[in-house]
Amino acid sequence: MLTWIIGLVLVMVMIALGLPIAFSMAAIGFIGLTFIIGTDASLAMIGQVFFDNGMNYTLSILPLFLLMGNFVVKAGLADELYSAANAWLRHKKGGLAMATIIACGGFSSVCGSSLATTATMAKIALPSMKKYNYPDSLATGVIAAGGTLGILIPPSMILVLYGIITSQDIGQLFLAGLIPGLLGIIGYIIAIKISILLNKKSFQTQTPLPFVKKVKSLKGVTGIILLFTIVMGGIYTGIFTTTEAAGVGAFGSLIIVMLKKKISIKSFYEILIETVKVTSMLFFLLFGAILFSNFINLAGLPNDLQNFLSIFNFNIYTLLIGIFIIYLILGMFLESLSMMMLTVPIFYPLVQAMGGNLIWFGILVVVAVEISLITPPIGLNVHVLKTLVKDKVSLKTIFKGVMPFVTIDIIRLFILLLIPGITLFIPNNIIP
Amino acid sequence: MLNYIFQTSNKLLLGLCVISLTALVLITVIDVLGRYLLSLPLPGTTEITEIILGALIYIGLPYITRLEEHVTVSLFTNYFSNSIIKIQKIVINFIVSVILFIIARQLYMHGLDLNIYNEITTFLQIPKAPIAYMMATLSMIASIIALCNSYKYLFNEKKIIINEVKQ
Repeated sequence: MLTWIIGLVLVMVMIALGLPIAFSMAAIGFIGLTFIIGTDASLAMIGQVFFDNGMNYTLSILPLFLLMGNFVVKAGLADELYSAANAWLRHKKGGLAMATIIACGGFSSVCGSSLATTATMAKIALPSMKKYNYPDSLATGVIAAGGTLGILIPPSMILVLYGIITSQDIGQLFLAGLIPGLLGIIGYIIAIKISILLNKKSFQTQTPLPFVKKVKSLKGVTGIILLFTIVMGGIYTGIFTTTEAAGVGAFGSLIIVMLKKKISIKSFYEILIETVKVTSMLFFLLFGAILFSNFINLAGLPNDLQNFLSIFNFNIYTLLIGIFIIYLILGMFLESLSMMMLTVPIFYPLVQAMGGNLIWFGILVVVAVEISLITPPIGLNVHVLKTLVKDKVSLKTIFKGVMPFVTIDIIRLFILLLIPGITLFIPNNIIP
Repeated sequence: MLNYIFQTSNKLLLGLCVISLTALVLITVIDVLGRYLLSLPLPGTTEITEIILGALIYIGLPYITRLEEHVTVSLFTNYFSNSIIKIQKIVINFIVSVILFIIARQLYMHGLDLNIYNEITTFLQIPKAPIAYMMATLSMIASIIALCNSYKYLFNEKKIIINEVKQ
């Protein structure tokens, strides 16, 4: 028991001192393993982990979906999504904020990263909300919160990595994210209504557009809808494997960006290099996590924790609530992706031993990670937004703005926790 | 001279990034299209995909190591003074270099094992050992780059940039 406690503490210390997370986990994993299985065996394990997992067919979805997201950003599809959502909502009080959430949701359906969603939407939605005198807190809060949808609505990079660590089907995880993602959109719209009520300022609304113009505005989003339908429809009906869907999605988005004439050879080159860079980063994080998880498992952490839990008569719900509290605390120090990579190997055997469904748990983890993306002091989405708005809006104002969204998110997390059927409905009814 | 070698190899690696990713997309698409439209599946796609993916990850490694863009938490390090950050950068790049060296060595050893057992892919019968050697070489390059980073910080050839958000 002492071994894994020391291991966990050392990893945290190394990460805090600024050693890359991937290498912190790899180094401590390796050193810990030498104590348990000996130097030769643990050295051999490094070779295996860094070779075999690098050549994993399922994992090729990562670069492919990343590429699709990058092309979609380049194609400027987010602008069109926003103007379409705006056309339908502009006459409502807080319409621009609602349009932002809808556009974020739509954009998430073709982009698997929260940071990319936040950064993209900020450039589009912020200027128009400024123009119509929306309070800074709401305008920035809505973008930071809306961006978190990126990792829940499929495709999602975090779900892919979760699926690999826990050996779950990634297609099923994607399908499971659909309804909770939709709930997220509805929840955020409720949060906007609440912030409007709390804000005494009067909101400027625009005149409604004639119906014909509303319908016309939808023309711009056909690309995204088509892309999403092909990718997710393909996975749902079983026509494509997830990897194939990702490949087709990446290719489809390339065609869209070329048809829109938004890409030059130079930017094509840049996008590809950026994609390889992020892929490489993610994979080394994964290798580190796998090595580290091998160590803590051999050191007996799952067993020790299970014994500990059985002393206190924990059931699955108390366990999960405990896990969420840990995420809330860890979220203050760790960046979301690393937090997930570090904790999921520890928690999933416990959830599994208590009879919890791992697809369901995966979605719960992602929602918890979403919350950590917008809670102080780290809240990565908030910081990304802050670097974009520079000194015009203070960090405090943004955090104040996201509070209604955080509250709604916590409620959503509990609903998903209490009714697993919401998450599991689509994966359970999948066409074989 | 040394700089020239670095720049050329950097360009070469970036070129390889572009080629391998393009190949990855094309192979998947050709396979799907071939299978559904022409009932002609591309044989061995899975294996080719796996090999390209393996290459892709390691091709990116020297690049992100040079830019020091591995995922790092900078919560506490932001509060350090410049001279402490300098020492931290020197030490961390050095540790990264050592770890990458061990990884490179083990990938090479793994390659030797694969060679001894004559491991080949099931369908296309491509020998696996050279892939491991390639991964080992690229990790070794990354290890040298990390060592150079450390050296550059030591002799102030590389400036310390403090980022508010490092992703």
